[in-house]
Amino acid sequence: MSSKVWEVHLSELDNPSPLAVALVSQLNESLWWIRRHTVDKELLLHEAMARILSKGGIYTKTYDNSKVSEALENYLDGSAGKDEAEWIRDILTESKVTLSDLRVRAFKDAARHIKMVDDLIHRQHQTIRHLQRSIDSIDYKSRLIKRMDLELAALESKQSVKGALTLDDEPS
Amino acid sequence: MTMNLRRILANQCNALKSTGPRSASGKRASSQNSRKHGLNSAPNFESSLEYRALIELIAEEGFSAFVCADIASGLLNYRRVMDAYYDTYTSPEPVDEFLRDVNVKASNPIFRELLSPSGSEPQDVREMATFFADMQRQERRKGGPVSRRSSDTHKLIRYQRNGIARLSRAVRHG
Repeated sequence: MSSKVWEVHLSELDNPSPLAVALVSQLNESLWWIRRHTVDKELLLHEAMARILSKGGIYTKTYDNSKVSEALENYLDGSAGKDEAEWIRDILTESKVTLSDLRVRAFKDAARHIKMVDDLIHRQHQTIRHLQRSIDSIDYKSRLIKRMDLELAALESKQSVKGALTLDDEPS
Repeated sequence: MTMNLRRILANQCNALKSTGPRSASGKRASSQNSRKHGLNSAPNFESSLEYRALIELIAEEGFSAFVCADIASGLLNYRRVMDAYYDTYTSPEPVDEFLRDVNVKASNPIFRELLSPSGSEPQDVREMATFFADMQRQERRKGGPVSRRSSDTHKLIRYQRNGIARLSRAVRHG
């Protein structure tokens, strides 16, 4: 996925220079961070859900966040065993919450950290914008230089033809 | 289990009596405690091999020597920030599971037992319990590993903003 994005970005550039390649690689990294932070948002919710469940009902005495977290992850994935699924259902009943209630409460609890992750994603978007502008300016510069070279070559050839004609006109 | 709990609480109580490092080397080591990412120190790229190699590559694109130096240091500075960002993200402050999960109210008899040799008053036990409850609240407020790495990397946003703005300015104005 990542290498495909990288190839697409490079193919859009007309004869990429080393600097353009360096900037595209930074852009690619920013995209990776956006994906990573998006997963983090879901993980934060999951963490908060596990915390609420661990604190709930009779399980206050056997508080074990990591155990609940693992069981909940399997339960949400649908890969939980019979005992594990029953255990999670028991905790939900004991805590007097449904799965959707739990998610809402977890979202409220984790709001501060989710906002931080949103800031991190926003920062990556801004970074991408900066990098795109820089790549555009390099690309535009190289096209401009190429166009000027072509114009110069055209002028030179025009001049040399004119010169040849002038030479021809001169009496021998 | 109770012995283990008593031992941990005793260690933490003893740690409260600590007055910090005394030797010169200890003080020098602890003076670096708050230093985490090193992004506040001024970088010196000019002597590095990468810097010279970058300048040579960028110069081939028709930029002036001054602009080449600006772009190369901008790029290396941005990489420095992103490397620190990655390091911070992958090594968040560890969760103190004991402090987070311990039942402070149920630990009162242990506090009493630990403080009794010095003939402590019930007031001392209450103060100790309040102190641990505060520490536990702070620990829980920091959240789990994902919350910690999010808030740690969030602190690096301003370095990232400055780094990319510097690089972008150098490239576009070159």
